[in-house]
Amino acid sequence: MDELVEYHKVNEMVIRDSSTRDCNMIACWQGGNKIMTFAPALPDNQDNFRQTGPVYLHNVQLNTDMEHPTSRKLINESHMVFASLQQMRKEVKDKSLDKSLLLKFSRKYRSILHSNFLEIRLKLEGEHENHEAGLEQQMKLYSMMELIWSLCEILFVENLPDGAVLLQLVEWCKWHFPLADELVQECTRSVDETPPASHPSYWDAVYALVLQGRVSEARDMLKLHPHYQTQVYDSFSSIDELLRKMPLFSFYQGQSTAEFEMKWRHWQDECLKRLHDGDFDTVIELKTICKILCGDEEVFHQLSELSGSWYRILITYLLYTNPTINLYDLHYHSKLCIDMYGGHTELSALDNILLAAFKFDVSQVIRECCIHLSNWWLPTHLTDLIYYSELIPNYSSENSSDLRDFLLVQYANAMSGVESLWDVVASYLASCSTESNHYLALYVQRIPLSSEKKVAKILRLCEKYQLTTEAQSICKQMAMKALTNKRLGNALLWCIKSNDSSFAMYIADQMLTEYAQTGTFSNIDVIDYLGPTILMSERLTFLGKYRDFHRLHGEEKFEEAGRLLLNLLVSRIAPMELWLSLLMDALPLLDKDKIIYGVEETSSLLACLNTLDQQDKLFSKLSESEKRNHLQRIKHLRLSLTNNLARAIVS
Amino acid sequence: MDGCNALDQIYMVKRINSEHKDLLHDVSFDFFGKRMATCSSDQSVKIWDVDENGEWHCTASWKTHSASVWKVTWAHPEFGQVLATCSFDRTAAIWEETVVENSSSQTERVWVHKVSLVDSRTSVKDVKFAPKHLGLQLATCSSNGIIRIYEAPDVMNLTHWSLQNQIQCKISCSCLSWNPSTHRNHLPMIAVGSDDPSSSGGGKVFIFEYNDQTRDWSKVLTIMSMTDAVSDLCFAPNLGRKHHVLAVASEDLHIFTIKPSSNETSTSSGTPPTYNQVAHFTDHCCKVVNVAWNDLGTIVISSGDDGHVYLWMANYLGIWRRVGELKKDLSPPSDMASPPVEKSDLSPLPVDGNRINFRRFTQGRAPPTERPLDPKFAGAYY
Repeated sequence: MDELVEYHKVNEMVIRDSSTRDCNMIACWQGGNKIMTFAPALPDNQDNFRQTGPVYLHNVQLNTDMEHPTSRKLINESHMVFASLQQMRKEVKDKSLDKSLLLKFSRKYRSILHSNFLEIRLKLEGEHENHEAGLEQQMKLYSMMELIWSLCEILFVENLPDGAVLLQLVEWCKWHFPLADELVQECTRSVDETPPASHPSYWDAVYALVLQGRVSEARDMLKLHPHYQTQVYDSFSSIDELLRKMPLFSFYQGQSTAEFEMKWRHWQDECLKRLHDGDFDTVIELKTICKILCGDEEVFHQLSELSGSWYRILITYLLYTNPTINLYDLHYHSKLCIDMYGGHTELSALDNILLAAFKFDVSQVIRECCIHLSNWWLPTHLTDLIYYSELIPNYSSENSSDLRDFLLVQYANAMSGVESLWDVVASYLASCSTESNHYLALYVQRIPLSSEKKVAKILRLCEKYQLTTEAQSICKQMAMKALTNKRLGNALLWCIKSNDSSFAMYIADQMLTEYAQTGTFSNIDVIDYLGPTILMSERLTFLGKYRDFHRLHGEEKFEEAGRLLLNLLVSRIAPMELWLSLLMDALPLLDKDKIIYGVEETSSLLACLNTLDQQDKLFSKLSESEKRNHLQRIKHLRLSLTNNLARAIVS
Repeated sequence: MDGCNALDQIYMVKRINSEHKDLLHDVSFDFFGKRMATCSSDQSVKIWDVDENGEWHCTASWKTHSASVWKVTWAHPEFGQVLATCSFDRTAAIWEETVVENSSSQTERVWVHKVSLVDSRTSVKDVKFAPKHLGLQLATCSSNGIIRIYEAPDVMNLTHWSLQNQIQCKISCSCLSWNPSTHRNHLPMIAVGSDDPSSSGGGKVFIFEYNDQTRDWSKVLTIMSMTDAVSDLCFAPNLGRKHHVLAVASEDLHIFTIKPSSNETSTSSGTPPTYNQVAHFTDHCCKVVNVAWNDLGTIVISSGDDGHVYLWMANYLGIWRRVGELKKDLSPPSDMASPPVEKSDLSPLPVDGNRINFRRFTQGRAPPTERPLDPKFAGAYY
């Protein structure tokens, strides 16, 4: 239960600030991984203490690993793999995917790691002197992650039947520790000057090949030795025969374990026999090789220099003593090899991670990775990959969260400092298994709304994950932004999206006020595109209808225009402040040759005029000149309306 | 291959001259971490905007109060660019950034004083906006122990704020925090801390809940174990958890979980909330003065009087651990020209953080230009 407790190493840093004599310091979050610190004033000695020098703030950025330009590629590419893995899970509806599928994904991740590693190496080779020191560390980190990942892939993902993992492990060694290849190259490259066999590292190269179980390559090397003669049966031919006949266990050859073991015992007995018969006593180096084949512990001690680390000697050791080793017995043998390299106290962080993997302790591997690797990439993706295969014990209690979720959030949080990665961050947060997307909801609110295009993308994201309140809030913010910039049409559009009727009314009012003041609508064309959403707010409806009136009037459909205007007044949909303007709009209709308003209609208009005339409250708000204007207009209107009434009665 | 210690986390520090003539009291970021407001004993507030390169530029500075400004805080951007400040001069004030046209008919952004809330008779120690789902509400607490809740009934008109509630706390209050939970079963909640120095005065952290039926706030919980003066407290963002998480800065750092009162709306049958201390850290050797949560509520940061800042994180089993530390070095830098930056380990410094010759900006300077918005809008779906 307690084994996954300690997650993080304590990191320390010093901020140098001698501007204040007090030693206290306050920190607050800027967001993402940024902190602002400053020396606070003490509330107690207010005014006694005056600052003399400048007061500094310190902007601290934590864990900038993910912001390194080289990480960019890793983040984006692994995100693609991650996303397709999630997609696959959704489609198959079986969260623990097929082993072969998982293996495919695992290899994708690994190839991303490797290509990143190569890229950094290339960069380092390109600029010899003034490269960043950080780059070298990044390269180290990538090669380390690759090593860990590939081991985990063999042990946890590939997980062969019968747990026969040794061949894979041998391959793993070959891939990650090219020492043997380097030695071979060293020997063969100098071929024109000295023959390879007289090269000082000739025998080392042969040993290294045998240690990695690469027998045919070792034989090729031996053939380069001047004493090697095919015709004569001597110690060289003898070792060659042994190497040639060495049985290799592979599940895919249709061999049963027992059958193989018998063969193997036979072969090794032969090796032992020849060793004791003194076949190799003349050439001491061949004797060493034969000792390796016999699995002699002593010789491993001697050659520990060549293997380099306990896990490599472990694999060699197993290869020549216990080739059918089961996955679950690995850790049993690891102790011996660790002792060979100075015991447990000498283990580095990487050793601990690998040891945990050899112990088949997945939780421990993840824990160690969290502690020692500077980013969350590996533990997060590894956990996600194997989480549903029930390798990780699942604890749950009230205070605890899901391990996978926890890591996803940590990884996303580490990236949230980079603004341009917001969609990647959101995608990881959306993959958390908790039912509603609380983390995503929190994060979405904090994405800076820097352009309309980005906002549209964020809104699509909100729609996809049903974050309605967050989407509305974003629209409202956009509306507010447009409003402060005095772009009413834009504000109205955003406001309709946010479905906030009172805000829509406010904006419609603003537009009408503008009309009342200037006589024109600046952004009125927006109204034409609104469609049925115009019914959201009463004021907006009025605005739309009023716009219709203007259009009809422009198209010289005076009768329809007149009817609409009357309706607006009679239905009381128009705000009282605008009645006068509306009635003034009716004036030109009264002057037409054809009578547009009949007796009844004209009386209604007159009634409206009278109501308006009695609105003392409204009247008192106006300035002196406006009041004069107002009265004059009413007078004028009354006259025109009465005239029209007379005309209507007569006709 | 070995030597993982070479891969420790990398830190970066940038120094910014605050231009304040006195010590700072508070720094507050807007929702996106793109704008910063600082307040100081020099009675002024400064607004900072960050540019694409992460450099901070002071874009506004003005005198806000007639005494030290204790706290400054941003409202949710839904309500526009709005700030609240509180001060020793016994008032709290609301400020809004508006766009005006200047004499040369160019638009300019200015901070306009909207209203002063003058109800308090003593120094106003803290001011906080409510989470946005509660509307535009504001809580203040003053040193004579009165908590006031204000509300702007019309969010478009910030000159009018009505005093909704007044709660007597009896002992001097120093800090308050709104519970950000948006869950519909959670009642609005405020936590208040007291800096009363007498340790015999009982609990120093109070939890208030709003009752819809009585339309009043009432004290539902006192954390009795907190008998030392509290200098800061802060609710964590609620992530759909059944309980709330509250960090309290007192002599030590405490983290509590608070189980909200049961769903029953009638006060008689509902059970009062309960609390449980999940972490207690004495790593700061003296008083803890400040706590803050990150956006996702995963890391809490605490600052002590000893010049140490610690970062804390709970693992997935809910066990809290220290994960980082910032220390202040008082020794004067040997050479002022050398960047005052320090790094955790061996890697060199990526950025020169020295900003001594920082250009001074005048009030009302426009923030970095915004990208123009597309006037045509397609595909409305909300």
